[in-house]
Amino acid sequence: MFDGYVRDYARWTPRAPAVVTPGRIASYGEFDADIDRCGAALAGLGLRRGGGVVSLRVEAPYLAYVALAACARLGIATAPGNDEGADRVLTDREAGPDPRAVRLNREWVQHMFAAEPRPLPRLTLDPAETARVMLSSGTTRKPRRVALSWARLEAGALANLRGWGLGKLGTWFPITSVDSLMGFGQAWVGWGVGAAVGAGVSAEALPGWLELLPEGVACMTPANLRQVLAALPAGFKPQPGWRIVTAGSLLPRPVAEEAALRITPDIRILYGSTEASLLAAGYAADLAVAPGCVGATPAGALVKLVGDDGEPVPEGQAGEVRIATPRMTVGYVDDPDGTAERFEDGWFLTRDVARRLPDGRLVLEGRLDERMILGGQKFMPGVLEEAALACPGVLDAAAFAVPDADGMDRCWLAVAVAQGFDRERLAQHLAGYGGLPPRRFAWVEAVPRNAMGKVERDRLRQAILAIVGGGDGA
Amino acid sequence: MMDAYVRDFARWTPRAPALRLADRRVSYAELDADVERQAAALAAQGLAPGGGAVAVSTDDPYLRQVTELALSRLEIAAALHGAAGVPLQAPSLAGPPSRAPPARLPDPDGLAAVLPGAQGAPVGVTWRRLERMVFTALRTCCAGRQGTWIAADQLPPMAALGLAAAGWSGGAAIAPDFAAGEIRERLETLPPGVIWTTPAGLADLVQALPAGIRVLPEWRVVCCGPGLDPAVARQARLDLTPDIHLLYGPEEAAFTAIGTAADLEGAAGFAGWVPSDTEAMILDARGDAVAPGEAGELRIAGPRVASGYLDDAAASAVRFLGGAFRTGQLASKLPDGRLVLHGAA
Repeated sequence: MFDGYVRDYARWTPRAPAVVTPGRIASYGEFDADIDRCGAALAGLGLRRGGGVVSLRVEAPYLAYVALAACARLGIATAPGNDEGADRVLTDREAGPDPRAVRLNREWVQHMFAAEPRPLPRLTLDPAETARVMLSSGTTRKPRRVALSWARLEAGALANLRGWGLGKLGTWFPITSVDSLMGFGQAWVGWGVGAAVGAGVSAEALPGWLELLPEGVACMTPANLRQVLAALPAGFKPQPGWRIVTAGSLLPRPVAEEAALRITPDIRILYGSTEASLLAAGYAADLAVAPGCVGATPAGALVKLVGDDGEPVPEGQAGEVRIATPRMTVGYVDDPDGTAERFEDGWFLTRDVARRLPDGRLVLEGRLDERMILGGQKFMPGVLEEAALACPGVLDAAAFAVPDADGMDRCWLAVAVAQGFDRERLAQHLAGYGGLPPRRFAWVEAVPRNAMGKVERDRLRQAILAIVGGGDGA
Repeated sequence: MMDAYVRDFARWTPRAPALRLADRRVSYAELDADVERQAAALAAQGLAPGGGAVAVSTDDPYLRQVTELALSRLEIAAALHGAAGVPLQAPSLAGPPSRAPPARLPDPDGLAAVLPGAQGAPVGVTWRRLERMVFTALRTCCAGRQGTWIAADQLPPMAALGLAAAGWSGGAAIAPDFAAGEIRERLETLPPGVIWTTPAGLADLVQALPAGIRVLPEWRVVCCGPGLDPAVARQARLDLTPDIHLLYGPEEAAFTAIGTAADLEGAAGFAGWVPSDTEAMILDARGDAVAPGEAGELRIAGPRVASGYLDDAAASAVRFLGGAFRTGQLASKLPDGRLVLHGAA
C-alpha cells in the first residue's frame, strides 16, 4: 500500500527527495530500489506474509524506513520497536538471547544495499488483513495492541491528508517517530503526496532544519514543541511556509502562542486515538475561542457525546466522546475483555470528555478517568491546568485527585515553575477565576508525562500518598 | 460524502470561498448553510435514499450545486451530465434556515452519482469509488495545491465530478462556470490553484492569452483526456505554467494514468504513469497480452474501476470482463512503463 505510493513517485518524480536524514537524502528512485533490495533480502531471511507480526527495532534512520516499506511490499504486518507481543523482532542492534530476534548486522546491510534491485511481485492484499500493530498510549496501565488493517490505513490516509496535510509538500518531519500512529501516518501520507519524509530528527535538532529547508510539516506532541522552543538558537530565522502539527495531548495556549511568534503562524491541533485514528483536526488559533478546542471531525466518521447513562447529552453539554468510522480498529489483539470494555455496537468509547461549540467543533475537557468528583461536583483537571498555565512563570501544571484520611477526594495541582517564581503569585492568579475547585499545590521539577505527552496522574497520586499517607498533609 | 467535505471546511475555514461563480462568491459557511436548508426542504418533500438517482433541473448554476450537494447530504445519488434520473425541480432557497435529518455514515457501496459512461451506457459512482478517486486526486495531480480550481472547458463527466469532489475535499474554491475571457483575467488575480481543462480547452486558452499577461506563478494545469497536441503543450508550458499534468481516466475507471506535458516530447497523444494500485493490460484481438511495445486494446483493473453499467447487463457483459474494463482505446507501453494512447481501437 504505502510502498505503492513510493513506487508511484519513483516513476513520476524519481529524482525528488523521498527520505531526509541527518546523514543523507535519498531520492524516490533510490528509496524504491532499496525497498526492493531489502524486501528480497528479508524474504531470504524467511520473513513472509502470514508469518506473524514483525516488530521493527531498527536504529539506523534510513534503514528503518526501508525495512518498514519493504515489509509492506511483502505484505508483512509490522509493529513498533517496543511491541512485546510481536512474533518476530527485526533489529540492527545487539539482540541478546531473544529467540524472536532477526539480527540485521552490518555485513547483511552492506550486502543488501549492494545487491541488484529486482522489482518484487505486486501482491493482491486482503483489505481486512492486519497491516500494522500499534500500541495504544495507556497512561496508567500496560499499552494495548491495536491491529490496523490495510483498508483501515487507506481510510485513515485520506482523513489525515485532509485534516492537516493539505496544501503542503516540501519535507515532512515525524518528530514522534513512526512508532506512534501520528508519526507513522505522517510518513505514509507524506510519501502519498510525493513529499520528502524526515527520519532520525529529534525535537532539539529540528530548528536547524527549519532554517535550512524551504517548507513542510512537522508533527509532534506539545511536549516536543516545548523542546523545540527551548532549542531555538538566538536569532532563529525559520524559512517561511512551515506547518506545525501537534497531537497526543492538549496544546497549552502559551506554548502555541510562543511557537506562532517564533516559528510559524500555521499551527494545527489534532485529536486522535490509536484505536480510532483522527477524531478531530483544527487550528491552534482556535485555542483563543476555547481552551481545548480541537476542531472538527473530518468526513467519514460519526461522533457522539454521551452522558453516564450512555444517551447523547443535550447540545452544548460535556459528555464522553464516542466515534463510529471505517478508520477505526475492530478491537485489541487477543484481548476480548479489553475490546468489550471499549467497543460497543460499532462505537469506540474514547473515555475522553468533550463538549461541542454551536458550529460543531469539539472542545476537549480531559479524560473520563481523570474526572475529579469533589464534594459531589464534577471537575475536569484540564480546566484548572489551563488557568494555572496562563500565569506567567508557570511552565507546566497537572491537576489530580487524592483521597484524604476520610477517603474523600481532594484536588491537588502539581506545578513546575521558572526559577525565582513567587509561589504566592499563582494563588492570587487562580483567585481571579470562577468555578475552580479548592486545591493544594505540589511544587515539582517537572510534571511526569508519557511518551505522547500525556500526564501520568497516577504517578503523581502515588507520590502524594507516599508523602502524606492518605492523610491531610500540606 | 461530497457535502461532508463542504461541512468540514465550513468549520475549518468558514470564510474561505467554496464557490466562485461568474456573478458571485460563496463561502464554505454560506454554502454549507444553504445545503443544510435545501436538504431539509428535499426531505420535507419526501425524498429519501433508495428511490433511485435524481436529476436536478434548474437554470441557476448556484441552485444546481446546492441541490446536488443536498442530495448527497440525504444519501441520494445525483444523476449528472444528462444521465437519466428521476426529474427534480430544485426548490428555491427562500425558505427559513432549517436542519436536515442527522447525518449517518453512507453505505460505501451505495451510489453517490450516476454519469454517462465513456462508452455510452450510464455508470454509477459509489461512495467508496468517489472517496478513492478523491484521495488519488489529492495525492497525485493535485498534491500540495489549494487556491482556486477552475473548470476551463466542458470537462468529461468524471473529471467534472473529480474537480468538485477533490476540490471541496481539499478546501479549494471551485470555479465551474467562468467564461474563457474571464479565466485569462483571473489568472492574474485569483489565488493560484488548479486549472482543469481538456486538450481543446487548453489550446483555446493558450491561443487567447494577451501579450504581456502576468500569469501568477504556482498555477497548475490538469489536462483531462488524450490528444493534447505537443505544440500546444509546449506553448502552454512557456506562456501559462510549466506545471502541466495529463490525466486519463474514463468514467468507468477513473484516474488510470497521470503524466506531465513534458512527457509528450517524443510520445504524441498522451503518455502517463499508471498508479501502483491499478493494472493496465494491453491485449490483442484474441485477448492475449501483446509483445512489449506493441499496440493493443487497453483494459483496466483496480480499485477505481466500476463493477459494470447500471441496469444494462448486455453492455456490461461486453465492456466489463473479469473485473477489468475494456476501454476501446488503442494503447502501448514505452520501455520505461509509461502508457501511450493512440486513439479509438
